[in-house]
Amino acid sequence: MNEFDMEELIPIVAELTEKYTSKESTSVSYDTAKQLMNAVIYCMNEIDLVYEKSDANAVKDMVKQQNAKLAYRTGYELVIKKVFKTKALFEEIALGFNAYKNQAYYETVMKGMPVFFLYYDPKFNPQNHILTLDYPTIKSIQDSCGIDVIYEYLTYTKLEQDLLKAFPEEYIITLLSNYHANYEELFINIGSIVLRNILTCMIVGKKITSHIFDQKDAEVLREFIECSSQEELEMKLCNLIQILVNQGYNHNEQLYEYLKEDVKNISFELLNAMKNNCLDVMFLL
Amino acid sequence: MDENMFLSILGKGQYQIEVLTKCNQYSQKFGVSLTEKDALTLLDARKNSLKEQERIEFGGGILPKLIFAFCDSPFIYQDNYVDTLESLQNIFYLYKNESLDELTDDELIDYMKKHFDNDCQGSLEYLEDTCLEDFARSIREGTRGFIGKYEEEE
Repeated sequence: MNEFDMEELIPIVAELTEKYTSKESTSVSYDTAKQLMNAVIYCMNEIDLVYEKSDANAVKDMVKQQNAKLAYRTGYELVIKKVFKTKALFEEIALGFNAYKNQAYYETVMKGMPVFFLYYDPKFNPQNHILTLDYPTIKSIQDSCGIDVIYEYLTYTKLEQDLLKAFPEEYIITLLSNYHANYEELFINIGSIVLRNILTCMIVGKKITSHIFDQKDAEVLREFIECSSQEELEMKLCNLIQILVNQGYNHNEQLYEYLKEDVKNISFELLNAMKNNCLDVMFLL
Repeated sequence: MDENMFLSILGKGQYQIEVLTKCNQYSQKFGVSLTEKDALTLLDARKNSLKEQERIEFGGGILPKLIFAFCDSPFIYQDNYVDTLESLQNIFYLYKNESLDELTDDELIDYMKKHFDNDCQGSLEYLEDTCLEDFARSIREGTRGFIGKYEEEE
């Protein structure tokens, strides 16, 4: 996008403004003009985003050597394609979606997303993703906006559903109920809670459905934590996640990268639990 | 980019002066016209008004439409022509904002013209402070009975 001067964008914004007002108003407020300028910039940035990932630098350079208008049009088409791609992803998720009775999860995905596709405006306001995305994902989405955010959010939702679907629903609900009696109303990440329990079970060498934990298990857990610094602990947890993903999820690298984001929190919780002598809270069953 | 094209998009320069002076062909029938200096004064006023109302305008601006709508008013004559156009332009941008951009340019100009010639009897103060104030309030309340096809229904 930086290849173009601001004055090259003004005719595009002018044209977009004409369409926005249907030629029925010669002027627009600063806010509207700002929104339309951001819409143009957003579409142009989409070229960077798409071709950067696909490594097609030649295509990117070719587009950028053309005039700003062509770059905008190409970017706009990429945004439209991404909307369809995102919609297809949502439909795939919606088919087997399970919110495990958590309201925020259900409302964000099953109620929010259809509304998003209904009201998203790729032409005049592509940078506005409308939803607040209340249900938190393990990996946070901070630097992007518009359809990019929704696509990324749904990708994480898909990975999380893949993780959860490998376990019986009753198991997950029992786990969540033990975590908090009112878990249905909390804004918590379900995948994160399940992952904690799986990792704890892997450390103590018990089946994840095992309901019996004793002092000996707490000791094993203590030994696992005690002999490591936080960095080492994080490394060990990453290895465990890698084993889990390789064995249970067919070497799904994307899932590994996603779950890895939670390692820092888990290691901190483990260290904190040990420090305060309450390792038993890590056993949710 | 071609400089003239850029200026025309932003509505600046000789291009705009030509657009305004061309309106004389029509307005002269009603005994009013603009010199180049008048056009320049109006364009300066437009710039200030847009800045004050925090609006951006591309293309020809609203002045040609105001000229075509108001030049046949019985309350406008050559001596007050430029001043009236300047005030009408200020009022127009103010009420585009006050009406939350819910109105098209033509709807607002039609309303302004109708009231300027009738109950305002050519008073710009009455138009701005009373007629348009009520009008804008009605729009913000969500009623539509004052525009176009809805006018007769309510």
